[in-house]
Amino acid sequence: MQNNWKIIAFFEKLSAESAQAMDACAWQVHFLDGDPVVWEDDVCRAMYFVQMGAVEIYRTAIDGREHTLGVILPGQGFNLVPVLRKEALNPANARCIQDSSLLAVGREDVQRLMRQYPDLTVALAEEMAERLEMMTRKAGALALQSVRQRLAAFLVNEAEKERTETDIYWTRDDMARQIGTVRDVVGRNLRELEAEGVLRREKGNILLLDRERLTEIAEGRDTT
Amino acid sequence: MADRNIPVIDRQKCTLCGMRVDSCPEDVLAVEAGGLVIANPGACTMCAECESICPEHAVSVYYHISWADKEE
Repeated sequence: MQNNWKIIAFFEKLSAESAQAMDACAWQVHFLDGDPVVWEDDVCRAMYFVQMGAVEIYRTAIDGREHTLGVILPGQGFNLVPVLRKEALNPANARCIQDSSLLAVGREDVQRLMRQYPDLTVALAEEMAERLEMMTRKAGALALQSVRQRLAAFLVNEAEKERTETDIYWTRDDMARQIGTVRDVVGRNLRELEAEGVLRREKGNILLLDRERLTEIAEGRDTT
Repeated sequence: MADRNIPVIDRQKCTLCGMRVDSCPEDVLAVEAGGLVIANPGACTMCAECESICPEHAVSVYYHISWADKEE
């Protein structure tokens, strides 16, 4: 193998033969923190897997507001859907939020390999099913949950992530883009949660204090 | 990667309106050489007042989110 695929979860699902074929087509790209990887509505040229760093996937409204659809961490991939379509466009923007190394596989190569290796097609279908479930949950949360509930769920989810070299740091703008609101509303909700003793803000840290209460709020069992 | 332990200033977004300098309770910010700078980083408590007041979203205060019982 010419590329290091060790941590790419998707790659573990493939047979040795199709993994070799993917490896032969892939190339490595390096980006600095803040660099764009793809722009929404540009022609899709490749799918990407994160080896190191982190990539934010987001869409921009006509007034400039951004909404984060997800953060892709090492081992995960993005732009998997448009590579399957003919003359497809990137459905969202992607930018690095840390210095990052990515593996890319060209759209035409993916389509050619899918015809040759059924296990690759099945692996991509599984990935897409997971994405569809995730987006369904996200759409449901935006439509049905309060900002307080979405923020609590975001905080719990973020704190539950295993600590790695690629710890993510969040501004209130970032959090707002994640949960579909604006900075001031995030700030107000953080202050309320702090006043309730659920969390504490220290220099550069949001420390979550009350697991039971936060989970209660995140699950919509909040009575306040 | 930018230092996440002090506020990060995007000088392209900053219009030098001066509100941030006045907003800081610890006098951490200053305008030097035609730009807003963190003049006294050791005094910064990351209270995020400067971020809150900036209409251009030119100041960012970064937080790491974790369970307190894992940190302590």
